[in-house]
Order: sequence, then C-alpha cells, then structure tokens
Amino acid sequence: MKNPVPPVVATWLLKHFVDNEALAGDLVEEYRSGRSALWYWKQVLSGIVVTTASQLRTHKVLAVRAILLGWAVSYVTAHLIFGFPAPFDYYIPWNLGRFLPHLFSGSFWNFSYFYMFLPSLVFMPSGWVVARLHRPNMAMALAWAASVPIFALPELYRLADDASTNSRFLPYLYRAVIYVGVEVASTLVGSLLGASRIGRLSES
Amino acid sequence: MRGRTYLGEFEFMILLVLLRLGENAYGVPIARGIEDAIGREVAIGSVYAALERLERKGFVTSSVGDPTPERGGRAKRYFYITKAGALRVRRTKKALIALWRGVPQGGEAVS
Repeated sequence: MKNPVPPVVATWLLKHFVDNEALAGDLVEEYRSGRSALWYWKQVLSGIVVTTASQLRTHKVLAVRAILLGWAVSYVTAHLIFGFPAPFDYYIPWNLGRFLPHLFSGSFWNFSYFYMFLPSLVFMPSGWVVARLHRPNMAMALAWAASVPIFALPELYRLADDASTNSRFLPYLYRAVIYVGVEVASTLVGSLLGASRIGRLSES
Repeated sequence: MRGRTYLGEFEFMILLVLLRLGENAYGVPIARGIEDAIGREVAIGSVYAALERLERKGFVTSSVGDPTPERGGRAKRYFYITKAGALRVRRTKKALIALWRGVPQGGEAVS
C-alpha cells in the first residue's frame, strides 16, 4: 500500500524555497489521490524554479541588489577570515600554506582536499545575509547562489582549456569544480539558515 | 498602446478555465482543466505563477479556504475572475476571431 505521506525531503524543499501553502496542499491532495512520488518530485522542483523565475522577473532591481550584496559580503568575510579579499580564489589553501607554513604544512593535495571546505566560511554568511535581508521568499538568495557558478565560468573554461591540451592540468579542473560545488552548497545552506532564523523571529 | 497589459496564451487558458469552474477554482482543478485541453501534464507551480501575474494585473482575485485533512492540514486558495478579467477575455476572443478570419483556410498551417 502506498505511503500517504509524500516524499519528506521534497516537501521540506518546497516549504523552505517557495513557502506557498496552497501549492503544497494541492500537491499533497494530488499525491494522495494516486500520483506517484516521481510526479511529486517533478512538481516540487518545477515549482521552485518557476516561482523563483517569476519573483526575479517581478523584482529585477532586488535581484541585482541581492547579487551585489552577496559579492560584497563574500569579499568582506574573506578579508576578515583569510586576510585577503579572495572569496573566489580556488587557491585559498595554497595561499594559507604560503602565509602560515608552520600551520599548513604537508603535501599540496592533502591539505588542498582537507581545506576544500574553507569557502564555506565565506559563502555561508553571504547566503545568510542575503536571505535575511530579502524576506519573505528565497528567490533572491537563490539568485545569489545561481550567480556563483556563472561568475566562475571564465576560470573553469580556462582550466578546461588547459586540461584539454595537457592532462596533467585535469586535477586543477576537478578541484575547481569541487570548489564551485562547495561554494553553491554553502550559499544554499547559509540561505536556509537565514530563512529559518526569519521564521523563528516572526513566530516569536 | 503603452501601459496596456496583454494576455499570454497560458494566462488566457487559465481565465477560460476559471470561467468554466466558477466557485470551485483552486490549483488542482485549474491544472486539470488545462491538462485536459492541451493533452499534457502541467506544473501546478506554473499555474500559481500565472495566477499571481493575473492577480497583479487585476484580472483575478483570490481567497483562502479552510484547512482540510486530505491536504495535510493546508488550506485551498480559491481564484475568481474579475469584471476586468472577463472583459479582457471577451476582447482577446474577439481579436483572435478577427485575426482568424484573415487566415487563408485549407493550407498546412491551419489544417
């Protein structure tokens, strides 16, 4: 017998990224009337994309402001934490090793992978601030998160070009792709934390 | 013509479905009405995005119903077409019929 509760993760994503109670209720009603879990997931993901796109079309200036704010917070945070304003520098671990050799010793790749989560320290606060200042929905925070890989494209293209001519550059490309993934994921986590904080404040 | 709002194809279909459904127009039956007409699946999120655009244009109003257990305790949002919306539907229909009359019949494009 089919579980009457729709996919929990999809419901959670819908609640946090769209927060449209009527849409959430419609999807539950359809799921309980026989629609599949795959249908539910498709509806949730398309709902997030369509709602975000609609919000961004309606509030273009706010979207630009959110992206600029995200960049500004990233640069300031990077400066405060690392001492140099380079939030999109994929060589942060290498730079740390250069500036603080007694703390960051070891082979390049070891601490490179170990510290690949350092961008989270920069991007989580940026996501938090953008979500916090653009309530009540997450569209502006998603715009900021979506802009991160877009701005990384020139560097990724350069690395892909190098890797296509010489395979010894492939690890650099892989690492940059991982970094961009970490940056986007960190921005989204920060945004969700910012939105949760808003929820708690508005309830109190 | 500056400042005038036009109806997109999807918006026009939604207004027609609202006219057919009357008082019971919320997300699920609206989406089903469009699916029946076009023969393919519709994202309910797209329906809400279009309804919100129509509401901003003044062609639609909405009200929230009571929460029900089959919806996980969530309320329905009912949509109603306004006088301005009904007028726009009639004008769009009139314009489409006038344009249709000028299209040569029997060709591949209209068969």
